[in-house]
Amino acid sequence: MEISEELLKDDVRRILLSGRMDIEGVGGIETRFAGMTAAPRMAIIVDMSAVPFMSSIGIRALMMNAKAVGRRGGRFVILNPDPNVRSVLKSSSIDLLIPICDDLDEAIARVAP
Amino acid sequence: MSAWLDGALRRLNAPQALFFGFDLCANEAVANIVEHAFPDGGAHEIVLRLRSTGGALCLEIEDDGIAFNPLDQPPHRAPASLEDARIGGLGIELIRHYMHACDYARRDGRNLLTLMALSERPRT
Repeated sequence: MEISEELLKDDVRRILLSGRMDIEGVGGIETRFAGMTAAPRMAIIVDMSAVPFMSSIGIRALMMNAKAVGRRGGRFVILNPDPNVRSVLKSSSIDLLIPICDDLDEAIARVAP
Repeated sequence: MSAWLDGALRRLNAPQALFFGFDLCANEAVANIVEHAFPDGGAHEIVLRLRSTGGALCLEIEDDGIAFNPLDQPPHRAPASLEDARIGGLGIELIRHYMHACDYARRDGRNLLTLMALSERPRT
């Protein structure tokens, strides 16, 4: 997997994930992912449009980072997941805990202060 | 593993709609086995077989670990909040969602997990 981040207006950060979010994939990015969601970051968009596969290890990574942001009063959303990945998020009810947005403007509106 | 599974599904002319589900379930099942069936560590064997049987595709996952039935794990409970959320049991929950049937057997000192999906009416 690859991970990168982009600073948008109002200190909103867009984290771009790409590649398979399986054990190996998550293992390669989890430290950087945690760094990109660490304090004082309060508005996080995780762009998953380039992630074709996600297993429960990926769900764990999303939840851990979402929890960390939430505890500080910040906001964390998922942007434009692949339909198969969206199905995994729904099957595990994670979509009830972490908002899923279909476009960037919606995501920015959900997380911006 | 996923590359092998993709090739095996293609050779059996599996409906495209089943590919992701099998890939996911294989990953979840093998991760469970690695985590729970080999407490002594060391070298172990996990064998995967994909068979087509009259309108269904069966993925068999066999290992030489301790007796471990992943289907016996407590079911995952949908959490009320993000803070309360736990990951435990999620892998099996996903397997049950994506497969039409699951079966476990212990034979000759080996665990055999069988995951089945109907190939004539793909699960959506």
